[in-house]
Order: sequence, then C-alpha cells, then structure tokens
Amino acid sequence: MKYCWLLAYVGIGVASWSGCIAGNWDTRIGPLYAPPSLESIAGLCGTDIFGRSVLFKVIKGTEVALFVGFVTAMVSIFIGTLLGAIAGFFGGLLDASILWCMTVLSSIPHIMLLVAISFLLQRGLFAMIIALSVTSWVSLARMVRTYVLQQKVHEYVLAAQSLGASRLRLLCVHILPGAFPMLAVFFITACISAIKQEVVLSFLGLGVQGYPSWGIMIDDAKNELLRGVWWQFLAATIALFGIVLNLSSLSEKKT
Amino acid sequence: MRVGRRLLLDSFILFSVACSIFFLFSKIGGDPVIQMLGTHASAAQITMLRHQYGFDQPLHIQFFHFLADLVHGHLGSSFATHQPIAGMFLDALYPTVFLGLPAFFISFLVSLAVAFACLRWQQFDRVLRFLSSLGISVPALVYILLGQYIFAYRLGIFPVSGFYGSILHKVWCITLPLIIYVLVSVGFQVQVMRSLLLQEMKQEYVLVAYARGLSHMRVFFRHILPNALAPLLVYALSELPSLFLGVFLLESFFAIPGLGLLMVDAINSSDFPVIRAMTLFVAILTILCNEIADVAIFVCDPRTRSSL
Repeated sequence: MKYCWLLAYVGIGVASWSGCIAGNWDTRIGPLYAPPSLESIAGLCGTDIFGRSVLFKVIKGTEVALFVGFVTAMVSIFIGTLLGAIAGFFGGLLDASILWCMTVLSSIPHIMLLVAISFLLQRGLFAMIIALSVTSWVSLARMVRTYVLQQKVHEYVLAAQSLGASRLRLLCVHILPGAFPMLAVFFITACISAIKQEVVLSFLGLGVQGYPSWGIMIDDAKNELLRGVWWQFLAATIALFGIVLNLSSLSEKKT
Repeated sequence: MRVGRRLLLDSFILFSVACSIFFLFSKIGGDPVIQMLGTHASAAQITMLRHQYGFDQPLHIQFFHFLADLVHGHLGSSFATHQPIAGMFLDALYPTVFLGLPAFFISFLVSLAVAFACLRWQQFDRVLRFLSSLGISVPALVYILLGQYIFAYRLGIFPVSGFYGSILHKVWCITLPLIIYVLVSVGFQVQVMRSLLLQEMKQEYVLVAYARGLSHMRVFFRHILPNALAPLLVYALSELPSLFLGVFLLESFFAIPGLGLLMVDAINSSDFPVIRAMTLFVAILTILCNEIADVAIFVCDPRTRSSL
C-alpha cells in the first residue's frame, strides 16, 4: 500500500517529465484566479494568476520535487559514504583532515551555505541540488565513519584480511554492505528534507526558475490568501504532505 | 593541558571557518564597487572607491585586513544602508532573543512533557507519534501562512504583524509566532526526546527502581531524568545557534525586525557584507555552543569526568 503511493507519485513524475501529461502547463486555460470547477480536468484545481491550470502545475511540481529529492539524496549518499568510509577505515591524517572538513562545514549555518552556493552557481535547479547535497552529507559521513570504526575490529574483517583480501576489498565487499539499512533510511530522510527545504529556498527566491514547483506555489500564497485564493496553496500543500508522509512511513518501517 | 589543546583546536576551526567564508563570499556577488555606485559610474570614481575600500589589493592582503578588522570588532558596513553592521546586529538581536528564547524553552519543555506522556501512557503513544509525524510532514511555511491568515487576519485575535509599542504590546505581538514555532518544533523534538528517554528506560536501574515499588513519577524525575539530562542538554545546545536564523520565516512574515528579517532583506538586496558577517556570527556561536555542550556533559554527568 505504501509502495503504491510512492509508485503513483513516481509515475506522475515520470509521465510529466516525458511530456505525456501536463505538457502544456504554461498555456492559459481560462480567466485568472478561476476557482476549482468540475467542468474540465485542467480546471479541477482552479487557475493561477496567469490563468494557468493549477492541477498541471502541481503535476509538474511533482517532477521537480522528486528530481530534487532523489538526486540530492543520491549525491549526498555518494559523498557521505565515500568520505566517511575513507576516514573511518584509513584513519590517521586522512581521518583528521576529513573530520576537520566536516566540522568546518557543520559550523557554518546551513541556510547561509545554501544561500551562498545558490548565489555562486546562479540560481536554479542545478545550484539548488548542489547546495542541498553539500549541506546534507556531513551527518551521513559521521554515521558511516562511526560504523566503519566499529566494524573494523571485528573478527570477520580479520578473517577476510588473513585470506589475503586487499584493503579496498575489505572495505567495499566486507564492511560497507552492512551499512546498507542505514543508507536506505538516510536516503529517505534526505529526500524528505530536500523536498521541504525546496519550499524555504523558493521563499528566499533561490529555488527553480521558470518552472512550477510546490515551493513557489506555496510561497505565492502569501499574496493570494488575502484575496481568498486558496486552491493553489491547498493543492501544493496536499501534494507535498502526501509524499513526505508516505516517505516517512517507509523509513519507520525499515528502522 | 587539555583545555589549552581544545582552545587551540577551536581557534584553528574558527580560523578555517572565517577563511572559507571569506573566500566563498569573495567569489560571489560580483563587483561590490559597481553595486554601490551603479553601472553608470565613471572610471575615476570606481578606482577611488575601490582604493578606499581596499578592493584593489590582492586577495590574501584583503583577507588579512578582514581578519584584523574582525579581531577589532569591525564587521564592515552594509552596501544597502551604509550603516555599520555591528550596530545593525545589536539592534536586531533584541527582537530575535525576545521571540527566540521563550519559544525555545517552551517548545523544549512541552516536547519533554509530551515525550514523557508517550512513554508513561502507552495507549497515547501511537496517537501522539502519528500526530507528530503528521505535524512534520508539512513545511513550516504552511503553518505560518495558515496561522497568520486564520488567527490574525480572519479572526483578528492577534495582531497581523509588527513589533512595537510597550513591552506588553510586544509580548502580544510575538504570541502568535511563538505558538506557531512551538507547534512546528514540538512535532520533531518529541521524536528525538522520546528516543533519548526510551534508551534510558531500557536500562536495568529503571527495572530495579520499579521493583522497589517506586511510583512512575518518582522513577521518572529522580532516576530517568537525571541520567537523560546530559544527552538532552547536548541536543538543546546544538539547536540553540539555529535559533538565531531559524526563526527567519516567522520574523519576515510577522515583520519582527530581528536577525532573520535582516538576513532575508540582505538576501533580497544582495547585501553581501551583511550575509557574510551574519554567517560568521552564527558559525562562531555554533562552535561556542559545541564547547559549552562538552562542558555541560562534564558538569552534569560525573561518569565522564574520569575519562577526561
């Protein structure tokens, strides 16, 4: 059941990415700020300030949110596992310098780092993903480092070592596979936090540009609610709420 | 000996943080002089101002000037308002602390109480956990927008925005942001505290205490809480620095002129000296809080003293 929901979201995301549905989200379908009506599918959730279909924008937003969440989680898992494993396994100066790097990064407030990177790389989807990954890998690297440090002294490692396994093989074949459940849970939490951070970045004007996203739609509500336009806000919130709740229930099951 | 080493390590980290912030911000934001004078300034004007601010010198010299200024407490001046940044900070600190500290303590105590209730009355555990995961599934922005719209704009119970007048009126102004902050953060904090407390509850001394016939309350307050105090304090202290910027959404929506609003304004007007100074300020605070957390563990958990 839980996976059905996730699959539905992914299906919508892929379909909109390939252009099967909601391909014409930026065409005008009616008067501006038309309330939701049952007359047509496009008008099901009403229209926005330019008379575009809110439903299509939500669908396009799904694509952005899933893409941001997935890619951010993948990139930060890659960096975090790599550096955490190296630091824990090899120790010495390498460990000290990676730890130092992590301490420096985690001392700088995340929101400021997000802002700085977004400015550095020109605002947009790419900058946002880089910024979110840079800020989220540190906690995973800490966990992986501790895990590797703990496992390194176990007998199975010694056994593999005495059979002549190289250090790379020890790390990749014997130690790291055990960390997989941890990585899976981190993947989900990183997805969730990336999807939620996107809203904050959109509020600061550093989100995706020229493309609909849930963050921008929620942010638009600060002007729209006072005029009684609630449908765009509600549609984006429900879409976001659904995916985050679904993902967090998945991570609970795994722990 | 130990203290000296720690101080040395901290100052090294502080130096690296200052270093990375300086070079990160020297790369972004374009030419500050052109930003100040506009694109139609004459070449002579640009050269003069560039010389005046020391932008014509090589980057490493600029960095040493930056460090020297920092040690003397000069944070530079804002591009947008041309005021010294230190003064802007001090003005903004008061509203932030006025909103942040009570919000922080209330949400800490409320989530501790809720986490305790979860563990004490097992039948509520599922309900409360479900509610808290519902709560954290919605971004804070949604709560702020809804809260402001319904309670301030529609029902008119609270002021819509602003932070002015007498102390009492200020308290009135921050009531709604405070409630929203507590609602948003409790959902997350309950889960952290619940797992922290649960770890302690599994220990055998708890079983012994129950076997001696002590009441739940006594076991919790006299046995579990003192033992869980160290991790709880560390958690609280690690959250403290984020308080200064973490409330920026609330501050900008309720027009409370704190540090967060200063940051949002600085981002909107690309006022990089302010962003840089603020980043540095919070970074220093983070390092300081980490140190205090270590000392706090030392003070409230005698077991760690032998290892030090």
